Formats: sequence, C-alpha cells, structure tokens
Amino acid sequence: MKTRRIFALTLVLVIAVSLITIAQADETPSTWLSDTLVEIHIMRDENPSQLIQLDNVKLQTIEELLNVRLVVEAPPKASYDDKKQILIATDDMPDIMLVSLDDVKRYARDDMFVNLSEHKDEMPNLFAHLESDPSFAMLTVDGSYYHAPTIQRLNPDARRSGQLVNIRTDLLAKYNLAVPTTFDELLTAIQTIQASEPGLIGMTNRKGGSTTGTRKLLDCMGYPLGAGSDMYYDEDLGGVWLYGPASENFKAVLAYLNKAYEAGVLDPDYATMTKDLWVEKLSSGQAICTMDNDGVVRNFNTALATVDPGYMLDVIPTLTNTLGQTRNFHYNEDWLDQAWVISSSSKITDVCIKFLDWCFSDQGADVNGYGKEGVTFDYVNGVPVIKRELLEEYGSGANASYDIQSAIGVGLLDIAPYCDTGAQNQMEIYMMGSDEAIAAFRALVQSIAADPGLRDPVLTPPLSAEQTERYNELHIAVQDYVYQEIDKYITGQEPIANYDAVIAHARSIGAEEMEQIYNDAWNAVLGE
Amino acid sequence: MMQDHSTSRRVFNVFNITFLALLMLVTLYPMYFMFITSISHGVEVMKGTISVLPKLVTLDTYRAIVQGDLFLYMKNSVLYTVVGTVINLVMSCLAAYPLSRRNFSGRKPFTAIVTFTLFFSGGMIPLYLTVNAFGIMDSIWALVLPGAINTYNMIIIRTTFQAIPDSLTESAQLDGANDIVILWKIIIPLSKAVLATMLLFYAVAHWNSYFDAMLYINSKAKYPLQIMLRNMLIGGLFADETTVAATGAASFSVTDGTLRAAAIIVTTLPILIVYPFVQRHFVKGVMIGSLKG
Amino acid sequence: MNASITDNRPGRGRWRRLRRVLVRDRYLYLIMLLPLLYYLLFCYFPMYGVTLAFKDFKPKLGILYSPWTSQGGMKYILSIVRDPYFWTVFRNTIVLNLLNLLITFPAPIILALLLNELNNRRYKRVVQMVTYLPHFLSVVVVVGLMNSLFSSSGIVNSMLEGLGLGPYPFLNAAQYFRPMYIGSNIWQRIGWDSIIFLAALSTLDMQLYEAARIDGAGRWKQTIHITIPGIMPTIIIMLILSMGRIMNVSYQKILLMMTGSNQSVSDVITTYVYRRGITNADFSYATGVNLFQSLVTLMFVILTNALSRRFTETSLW
Repeated sequence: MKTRRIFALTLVLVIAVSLITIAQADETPSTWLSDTLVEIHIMRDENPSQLIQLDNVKLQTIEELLNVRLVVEAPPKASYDDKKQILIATDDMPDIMLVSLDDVKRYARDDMFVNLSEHKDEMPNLFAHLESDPSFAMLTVDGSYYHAPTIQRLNPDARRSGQLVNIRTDLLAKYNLAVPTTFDELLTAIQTIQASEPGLIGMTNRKGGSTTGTRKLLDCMGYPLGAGSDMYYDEDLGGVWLYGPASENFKAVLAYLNKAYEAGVLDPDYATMTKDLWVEKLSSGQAICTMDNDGVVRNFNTALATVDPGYMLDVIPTLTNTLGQTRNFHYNEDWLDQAWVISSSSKITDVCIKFLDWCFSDQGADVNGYGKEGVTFDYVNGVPVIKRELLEEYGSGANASYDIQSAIGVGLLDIAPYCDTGAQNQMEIYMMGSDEAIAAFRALVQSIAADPGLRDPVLTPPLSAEQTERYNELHIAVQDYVYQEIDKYITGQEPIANYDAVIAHARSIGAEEMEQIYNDAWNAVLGE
Repeated sequence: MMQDHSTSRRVFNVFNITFLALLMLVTLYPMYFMFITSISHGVEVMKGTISVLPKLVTLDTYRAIVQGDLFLYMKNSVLYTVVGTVINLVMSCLAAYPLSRRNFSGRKPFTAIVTFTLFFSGGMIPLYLTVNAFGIMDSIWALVLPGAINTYNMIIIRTTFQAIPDSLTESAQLDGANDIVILWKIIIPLSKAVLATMLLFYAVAHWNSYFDAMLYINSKAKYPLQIMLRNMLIGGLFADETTVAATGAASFSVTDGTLRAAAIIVTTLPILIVYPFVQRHFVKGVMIGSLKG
Repeated sequence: MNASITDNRPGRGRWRRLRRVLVRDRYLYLIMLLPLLYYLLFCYFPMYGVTLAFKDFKPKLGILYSPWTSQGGMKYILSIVRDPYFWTVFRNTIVLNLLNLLITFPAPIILALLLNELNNRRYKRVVQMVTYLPHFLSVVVVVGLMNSLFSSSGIVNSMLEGLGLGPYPFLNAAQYFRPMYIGSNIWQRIGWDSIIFLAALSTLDMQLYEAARIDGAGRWKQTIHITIPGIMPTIIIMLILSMGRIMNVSYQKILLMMTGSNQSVSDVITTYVYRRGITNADFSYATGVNLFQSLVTLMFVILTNALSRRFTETSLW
C-alpha cells in the first residue's frame, strides 16, 4: 500500500517537474548555459600574426547560443608567460585561462585549477575525447585532468608538419642526383653538389629559442640519427625512456655529425647560428639543406624565387640512419601544450565547466572554427565552408590566412579548445590560385601523411610531486654537463671513442636516475 | 675659449677629431642599417643583400605597424612618459634635497632607508598585490607610482645638489628664505644640466618600458607602444612555432627583420627629437661664480 | 648644542633638543614627506616578499601563510650554497662584471673629456647625437650584428685571413667570450653613459679655467687640475652605483651569446636561474638567489664606499 502511494506521489512529482521544465524551455532556448546572462572572463595570448578582436561574429554567436558573454583579455604573446605566472602566483586569475602543460603540472596540486575529472558527468563532450585516446592519460596530474588540452578536429584540408629534411631539390636535379634515402647518401649528395659549387653551405641550422645552436641541431637531428637530444622514448629499443645524450646510440649521432663537420657539409658556424643568419643562408641560396619545420622552410622559396625562379627547397621522405633505423617525429596532431584551465577561485565555475564542455561539442568546434552559419560559413555536404565573399575580401593581403581568422575570431590563435583550422586552410588553398599549385600542395600533404618513417610524438609520463622535484634537479645538472661536451666531439677535438667516459659520467650524476623516474612513471600509467 | 697653438695641441686635435669621426662611423652605421632595413622589401632583408642602400623601397612594414592602432598606443606612451617623468623628477628632487643638506637632522636615517632599497626588494608578487590593494590596477597610476623614484638617479641628483657651495644657500637663508624657496630658486636652476640628463634617463626608461604595463594593464586600449612593438619582435613570423603551416603563398614584403628594424626606429625617433633640447643645457657652463654676488 | 647645559634634566633636554631640531628642519621634513611615503608604500611594504626564500610557496595561501620549508626554512638557501655549479656561475658573474666595470667604466669618461676638448661646437653636438644611438638597439640586434661580423666567414675573419691569420672562433671559443661581451658593451654604452659626465662637465665654474689660464696652465694641466677634480664626485658616485649592480647581468645578451663551448665562462647567475625557471618556476629559489646577490652587492658597495670616503669626500651615505 505504502509503496503504491509513494509511487503515485513520485509520478505526480515527476510529471510536475517535467511540465515546469518544458514551460521554462519555452522561455529560454535549450542551448543556454544559464538563465541570466553570465560574463566569463577568459584570457589567452595574442599572437602578432592574428590580432584578437574583442567583439566579433563568433563572440556574438556564443552569446546568442549560450547566453554567455566572453570578456576576452589577450595580453601579447611576448609578455604572456610573465603575466600568466604573476596571475597564478597571486591567485588573481580570470575564470578561464590558457596555460602550458608545465603550468598545469606545477600548480594543479596547489588547487589553483578546477579538477575537471570531478566534473566528468557535466563534461561528456570533453571526456569523450580524452578517453578516446589512451595516451591522453599522460596529461593527468595524480590521475586527474585539471585542464582541457587543445585538441584538433581534423578537416579535409588540414596538414601535418614536422622537423623534416628540406633540401634544394633543384640542385639534386641539376647534378643528376637521386633523392637520398639514407643519411649517408645525403652526405655524399651534398658533397657532390659542393664539389661543383664551392662556397655553398651543406647543412645549416638555427639557434633554438633560448638554447644554443647545438641543442637545436640535435633537437631536429638527434632522434632521426639514432638518439634524442633529451629524454625520449625509443620504440626501436623495445619501448623505453632514455636520456639520449647518455645512451649508446648517441655515439652514432655524434659520429655522423662529426663526419659531416669534417667533410665541410655541416655549417662550420652551426654552434653559433642565429635565426636571422639561418633565414639569410636559406633564402639567398647559400645553403643546400636544413632539417627543420618544413612549413617555415617552405616560405623561403618565395625569397629564393627572386634570386632564381628555378630554386626549390622541398621536403624529402624520412632518411635511414647509420643504425638502419628510419624514423622521425612529426608534430603532434593536437596542441597538447595549450591547456585551458578554470580558476578554482572563479565564482562561476559551474558555467565555465559547461562552457568549456560545449567548446568540445561539434557545434562548439564549428562556431570556434568558422563563426556563424549563414553569415560566415555554410555547410556543404555537412562540412563547414567559409563563404566565398569572405575569402575574396581578405584574400589579397599578405597575411590573409590569419586576417580572415582575426576578423571572424576563430582558429587556433583565438579561443578554440576543440580546434578546427578550416578557415585558415581554406584561405590558403584559395590563395594558391591555380589548380596545379593546389594539386602540388595536396601531393605534399599526402606524401607527408604517407611517410612510414614519421611517427607520432610520445607524450612524457606524468610525474608525482617528489619525482618532479628530483627530476628537475638532476636534469639541469646532467644537461649542463653533457652540452658542454658535445661540441668537442662534433668538431673532432675529441675522438668519438672517448664519449664513453661522458656517457658514464652523465649516467652517474643523474641520467640513470632520470630514466628510472620516467620509466617508473610510464609503467605506472600503463599499468592502470 | 682661448686657442692653444702649440704643435702638440694641434697633433692632439687632429687625433681627437679623427678618433671621434671613426667612433661616429661605427656607432651610426648600425642605426642607419636599421633605417634602410625598415624601408626595404622583406625578401631582400631575408636574403641579406642590404648593406648601403635600401632595396625595393616599401613602406609596408610601417603600414603593418600602423594597422594595430599604433597612434592610440603612441598617445598612451606619450601620456605615460610625460606624467611619469614629471612625477619622477619632482619626487627625486624632493628626496634628494633634504639628503644633500649636511646639517639636516634626518639625513642619516633617511639615507639609510633609501639606500637599503638599492639592495633589497620584496619582489614581483608582493608589489603586484600592493598595487592591486591600492585599486590602481589597469590605470596610469600603476605605471607611474610604483617606480616614482629611481634611487640610482635620485642619488646622482643628491650628489649634484651637494656640490653646490653652501655659501650660496646660507646667504639665502640669512635673507629669510625657507628650504622650499631655496630648492626652487637656487638649487634647481644651478643643477639644470644634471636634471636635464635625469629627465632624459627617466623619459627613456618610461618610453621603453613594457614590463610594468604587461603586469598592471589589462585593457588593450591602455597599452603603451612598447608592448605592441615587442610582440611583433618576439612572436614574429618565423618564431619557433609548431603551428605554422605556411604554404609559400605569402609575399613577405614584411618580415621579422623589417619589423624589428622599424620598431627600433620608432623607439628611437622621439629620443632623437627630444635630445637636442636636453643637449642645450650641456653646452654652456653655468657661471656659479656670477651667481654668488 | 648647549641645551643640556641650561637644562639639568637630561631626558627633558633631549626632547627639547629634538623639538628644536625638528622645528628648525621642518621644511626639510615636509619636503621629505612624499618621497618617504613612496618608499614606505612601494618599497618597504612589499618587503615581506623576501620571506619567500624560506617558504614553500603556495599561491592559494599567499606568501604570509605559505608554510616554512623543511630544514628550518633554509631548504632553498642550503640548496643554493651547497650546489657546486652555483659557485661556478657565481664566480663567472663576479669576474665578468668586475672586468666589465674595469674596462667599460673609464670609457665614457674619456669620451666626455675628448668631447670637452673639441673647439667646434657643432661637431661636438653631432658626435654626441650619434654616439649614443647604439643604446637604442635591442640586444638581439647587437648580438646579431656581432654574429655576422665575427662568424667564420664574417668580415673580421676574412680580413684576418687576408693577413694570413685565423680564422678565429670568436663566437664559440671560451677565451673570446669575455672580450666579445665587454667590447660590445663599450660600443653600445659609451655614448649614452658619457651624457651624465658631459652634464657634470657643464656645471664646472668657468672662472677657474680663466684663473688657470692667467697662471699659464695649458689644456692638459687644466684637464688634470680642474676638469677631472671638478667631475670627481660624479665619477665616484657613478662608480659606487655601478658596484651596486655588480651582480646584475642581463641574461638576454648572455643567452644569445652562450654556446656549449663557452658556457664554462659565460654562464652567470641570471642565466642559471633563468634555465632553472624554464623547467620549474621556482619563486622561492629565485628569491633566495636574489637575497644572496643582495648581500654580496651590499658588501661590494660598503667596501667601495669606505675606500671612497677615505680618499675623497664623496660617499653614498
């Protein structure tokens, strides 16, 4: 009897609640995240290539759809790190903020950010993505996600880049040289060209952001030649984390670079190169080959064409190294270092959580990638396509692919945690003009995608607080020691055989323990 | 000036003039190079073909700078520089004068208080919190008050004040002038050359500063020029990005090289304009003796 | 000073003396009021931040409520002084800065004196205007310039090779780092730094020169006996103030010049802290290093100041 009455009562209640809900739905659109207009303060850096407008189609669309007004703060990229650090350190963060993965790992344990894993049920879209790829587990801190990584939604025109071998293919053709397939062949090919064209620099490099030219050279060439320039995961050695410069295979890397140096192939100024000199050598036709970001290097063809229209710097497939390995990384498909966090001091964390999750829906990706349907883009066969008149309006500028994104407020350099770079890609293709150019571009994209030597980068395992502290302490000491030695071996001041002593010393002062820490952490995550 | 006509004097003059001419050459050329770089086509700059004359002259680089509300930022910078420098000079003189009086009873403790700050500071975090607590965040006051006195400059001013003979101030004191009058009527006019230099130092520091603005200014409309210029330099086209998927379709009339050069020109220009006015005060020596009477 | 004699109650006398002095100096105190307020609010109030060096900083708790570190708050300080590499960069910092000071400090004074000797005023103005220009070039440009001039194929090595010398690894070898760093510093700063000495020169009393000329002193003697003593207070105070920056090195320029081969001499405290900061934004560590630097600087300044007091009349306090 009693149960029956309770049942009836519950039924009445359920009906009543549903009726009220339906009645409310009539007033407020179902997509709204809040009944009253909520302002979310959101901050990211502004890249000078793409200015962030504080009012644009995208922001209006979000307000209409979600009843959420984004108040965007966009400090310049050049100053962003300092600004970010001080805002975190003083607990004065905006509601949502773009930080780096390092920041997440550093401050998550201090409760600076909302633990998103605790709100998993409210974030079905985000967690569907995070759980689709087991390697994302490496992004957690003590098993929880404190941030939403920037994940790519692929579009048909997206392409992948990497630090690939770029070579003057016109010179290869001129001297009837086959495209090299191994690093040794590359050396001989460059030597052959240099024999006929003395004065040309064989292989050049730039300085790494805040590190040295040597470090940048090894960042690009170490792993393909046999061992990474820092901690790296070696699948060919059975799947293990190694500190590259203190591993056996690093001698093969040094031996090759030494051979290249003594043969006059490697730029004699490799250790002191700057970015400007690198640009100058490549875009004036003074250098034959470089291993670096192929998208950036490709730009030099514009300058090369003014020297001689026949000049061409082009990517060639991954080379086989002296150990018989054919391997290189391309850039990660996602931008995992761009982490979106919600401040734990925010007064509207519930709305922020809903908003961030919405960003990871397909509707969110469409709005954050293309703007407003019917205004800035249309669906063609279910795929968003930027309106032709917009392409024409912005397509004449020197910076068109970023200008159009700036105007709509979309793309990777705006607020787009689930990022579709379609607007930029479509503009780039529009600007290519001729069908041949588009076909050549598609062939390039295809060849990079099909290169079996290119692997996905492996995410570093998450460390505990104690592991992090210990690792950082060891890392700086080992790194400082090793990188003061390396140049001697590349330039031949010391025979490669002596490098065993460097390896032994590096291992004794911490390289061994660093590997241990990484492998333990890696296995701990895989074990779960 | 009386002329010396000895041979050694003449030899010295020839040497001096030649040496200074050489020094001018090596200091002028890089700035000239920046100028021709800023008006050359980016591709030529990339290729490194510019040395004496600009190539494929274009104003695209300056156009690129102007597109981002340059004039608004410039206006802000001028405002911050003028207000900041005035506050700096007034405050520095106010602090320097009492510290320069040998018989001032508070001289020792105040000197200690001031000098201590040369060596020790609380750091960025508490300063940020202090500025925040005063409610001056995102306003001009956050840029001009926390650095109202540069103690280094203030000490230079104090040293200059100290060098003024006591006899001058004593006679004024006997005439019944108080310290405010003495500072204003005697000390400051006699120290014009050094104060002009300090004006230059302070103004240049304000004009070039970006760090405080980066910390304390949140509204884009209040940014000074340097924040925008710096962004163009550091986050440029060929920055170490994993995101660039360029296609070679761009024309590159503007590149990192031309932007950097133009930014340096824009930064230097106002100083070039102001300097001659400051310089006027250096050329003629002050006749301290004539004031004594 | 005879107040205590007329008043035999010593406590009362001290108060009265103080009051008299305060009344006498009232305008000076009034003038000092605003600057004092500034120093208290913006320099002393935030000073509690120094405690960061002894704390495990938790942003949520703020500096005051963050817990003290292990080892009685000395964790970071001990990790600094026990780190052998820290002492390497410490030595590098001192050596680089002392050498730099020794060589770059006299340069602008000499330039100012040379300019002072010019009879042609227009030429003098032009030289001044031009020589300070490098001050406005960013370090990236300065180092970029150095790299293209001194690379293995740069102008300098090409000329040396023409003479049958070189090429010298100016940019990479450890022994060339300090000359390159200091040389470029002189070039960049000589003009700008000479401004303050020019200003000091212009305040010299013309009557002294006239008197000297009547006594038959030549230009050289005038320089030795009037000009240099006249600007000595400025020189001394600039020297002491430079000592106050003995531990500061702009990390940007060094980072741009640093290579694996010259790191043994080019690595300084700021670059080391910067490198550590990349992996680990350690506010506490950085504060600890700052504190240490402050103490060392203080020692240098006290020493210089004492020497200056002994031999000249000028001093910082």
